Amino acid sequence: MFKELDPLLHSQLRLAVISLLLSVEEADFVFIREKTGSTAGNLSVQIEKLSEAGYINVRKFIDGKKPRTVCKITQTGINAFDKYVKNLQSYIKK
Amino acid sequence: MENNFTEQDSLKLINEMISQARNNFQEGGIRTSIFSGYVVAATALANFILIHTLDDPNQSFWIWLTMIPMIIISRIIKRRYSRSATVKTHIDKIVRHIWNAFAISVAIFLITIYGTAYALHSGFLGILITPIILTMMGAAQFTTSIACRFRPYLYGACIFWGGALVCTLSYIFASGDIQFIILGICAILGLCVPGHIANRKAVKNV
Repeated sequence: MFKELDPLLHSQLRLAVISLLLSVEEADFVFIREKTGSTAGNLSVQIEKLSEAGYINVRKFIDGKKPRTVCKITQTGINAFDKYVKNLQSYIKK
Repeated sequence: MENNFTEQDSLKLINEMISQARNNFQEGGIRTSIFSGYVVAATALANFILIHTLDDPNQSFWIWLTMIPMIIISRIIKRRYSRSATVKTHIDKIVRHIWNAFAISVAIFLITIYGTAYALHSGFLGILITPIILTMMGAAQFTTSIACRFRPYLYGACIFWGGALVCTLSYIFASGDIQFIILGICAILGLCVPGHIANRKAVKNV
């Protein structure tokens, strides 16, 4: 029986962001952009969607004179990712 | 692009992102390691010189009070780099705790040694200080090498352990003050050199 995949995570860039944040404690916007190879605009939009869903925490602050955005995965995000991977297995095993 | 995103693509992407997140060294932690290594080496050399120049060689050991400002400055450096770091990994947290545990162990060890020396009215146990601290540094560096999966740290650990053994041999075959030269060399080869190699890797990766 195929289980439904979370539409928020079943997206290339959003899944890349969540996978990356799962592997670190927290990461800067610049780091995420470099590792995912996305544009700043597109990444901004996807991070906003993940933040609205409660999957990640976004912290914005000024470091010296530079504005910075730091993202961290939440427990909700971790649970959603776990569920996504478990449901993915029902597709892979077919 | 999004329309062709299959389940296999999902798994492949997850693995790729997890690999990307690995082995990202944080510059701050490495710089404090390099700084501490040079300070320890300089202090050890200064101790050696003072033993041979002071009227009372026992007064030379007060130079090790420089470890207190060294720890404070290291924390300041770490905090400055930590704030502007583009990524903080779980490994950074583990390595931070490893070296905090080392610092606490050294402090307790020194209290034990000096307390026992005071109780027994004998400074004999003082000869254990350098070999034991080198052994503990070896353990901390070894654990760091496993956590970071970075071979130069493993070589650093072997340098510290070898240094501890050479210290003991120096008490038998040479004079006790050679331990400070050994300590200085171990600090450079075991902390500074791997630190410089890791620093170059950190600058390239992040």
